[in-house]
Amino acid sequence: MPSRIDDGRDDMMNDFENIRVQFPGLRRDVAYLDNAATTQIHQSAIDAMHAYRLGGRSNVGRGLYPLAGETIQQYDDARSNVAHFVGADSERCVFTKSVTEGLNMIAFGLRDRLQPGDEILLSPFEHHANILPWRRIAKERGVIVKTMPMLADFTLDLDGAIAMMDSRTRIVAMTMMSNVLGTVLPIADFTRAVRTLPLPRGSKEGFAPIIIVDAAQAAAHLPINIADLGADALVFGSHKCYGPAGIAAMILSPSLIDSLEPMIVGGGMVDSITADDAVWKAGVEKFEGGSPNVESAIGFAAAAKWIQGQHHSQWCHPREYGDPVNVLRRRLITDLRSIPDVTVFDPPGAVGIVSFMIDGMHPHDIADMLGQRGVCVRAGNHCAVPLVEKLSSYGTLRASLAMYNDAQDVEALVSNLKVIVKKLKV
Amino acid sequence: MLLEYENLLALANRSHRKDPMMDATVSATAVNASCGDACTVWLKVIDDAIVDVSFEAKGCVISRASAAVIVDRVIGAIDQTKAMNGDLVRSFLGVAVSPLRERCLTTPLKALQDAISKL
Repeated sequence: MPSRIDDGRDDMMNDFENIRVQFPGLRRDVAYLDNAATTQIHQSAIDAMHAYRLGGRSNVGRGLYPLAGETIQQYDDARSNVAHFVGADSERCVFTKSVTEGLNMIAFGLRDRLQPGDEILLSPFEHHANILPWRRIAKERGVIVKTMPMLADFTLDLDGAIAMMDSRTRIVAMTMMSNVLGTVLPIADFTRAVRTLPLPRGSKEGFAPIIIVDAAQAAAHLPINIADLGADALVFGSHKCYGPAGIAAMILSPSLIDSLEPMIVGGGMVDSITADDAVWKAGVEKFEGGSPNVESAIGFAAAAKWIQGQHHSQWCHPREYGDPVNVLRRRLITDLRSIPDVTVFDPPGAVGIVSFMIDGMHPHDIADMLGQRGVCVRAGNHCAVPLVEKLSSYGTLRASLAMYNDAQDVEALVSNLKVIVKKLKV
Repeated sequence: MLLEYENLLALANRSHRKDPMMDATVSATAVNASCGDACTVWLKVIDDAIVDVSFEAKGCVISRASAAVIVDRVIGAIDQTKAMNGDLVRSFLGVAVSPLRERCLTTPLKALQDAISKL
């Protein structure tokens, strides 16, 4: 790969070059701009998992020998670090295999609380992972699923969303950041407003919806504190945060930890069992039936720690570190708009992600050709059909940035797009 | 790669069988939800033989080109059409279509085979 070109971030270049070499996956000669799907893995995560593998391993919560104790300690430490990443206690952090699994677990666990006529409210920016579990339990229980309104600039209509709340609203599920547009949702403003709404006339229960936040995209881009968000549950995954695939974290309120019915039952989550009954363990273990993915948990924790360090640098030393991902995002948007017939979606306040289209050309064809030329972007509906069909008939192209992307990646995308459009535009 | 796409575009655009058939014996539509491709095929069948075919394909260039090259090969060839698969369609196109685009490639074929299965 040729040396990286100046991207206008001179003061950060040394640190930036250091970041790139910390990602072995970037040694491939490609411009990797599909980070909203999966990021490259950070060296610290690789090292942490490698050390665990080489050091001898055991299962968790089964063995009584010292090695088992060491594994338990490493798993607990990983849980604590991942929980700390979003300002939570480890007693609230459940490891799942994915964000999708976590959201399904929450939906499953809540379904028996729902009555016909109750309502589930979703944002208009949801990934299928935060739509389909709710639709399924709604169908089973005779519950109504409603969608919050979106403004013309592709941001949430916060007032409209709050106005949809009433005493029948049992669950609110919303993403913190759109995986299609990068739109950041005002979760804290929403929860604060909902929690302080006056009681509806004649209601004894008031507004007490369970608020679930999908932070799959946000975790890599925005510092998160679950207490500040006011959410009851928050789910985010490792592989979009520079960590290994196959593991995610589901942070639950103490109330949900105690009361949510587990979806997966089996080994490791039972406190006592008789011929015809069983009592689940208390706490997070109740939700982790089966042998846990210890090494990925360790890698996840290492990656989370690395992100925290980066966020700390950017937030505590903004003059030196700025916000490199979104400086680059602005440049990408400007450069894309220089290409004829390109439509760029740029909601106010969006971060990390740029969706765009080229008039008269199918996104999959363009993404295929870009891929052949060493530029990795996503095309299609991004598992968010209800949102994407408002943007385009055939989906969009999506370039999604990570902390290691630079101006050379943007240049590779834009210059190849110009060639493709010039040659093939009908 | 660009040259291959130019060839596909030419294939997709040149077919003369792209109008809905008013007197069709049977029709079927197949969709590829992942990228929004949709292909409708109309067949006119007389004495168990396909005597005319037309299609309407919306979506990516691979699905549209695929539709164009398949319909040219189905008249009088019910059994051969039933036996077609993605690799054969790939050979019709003469382009190295990625396995990642398999559903784009085969959506028109699915529409055709669905239509035949209704006969």
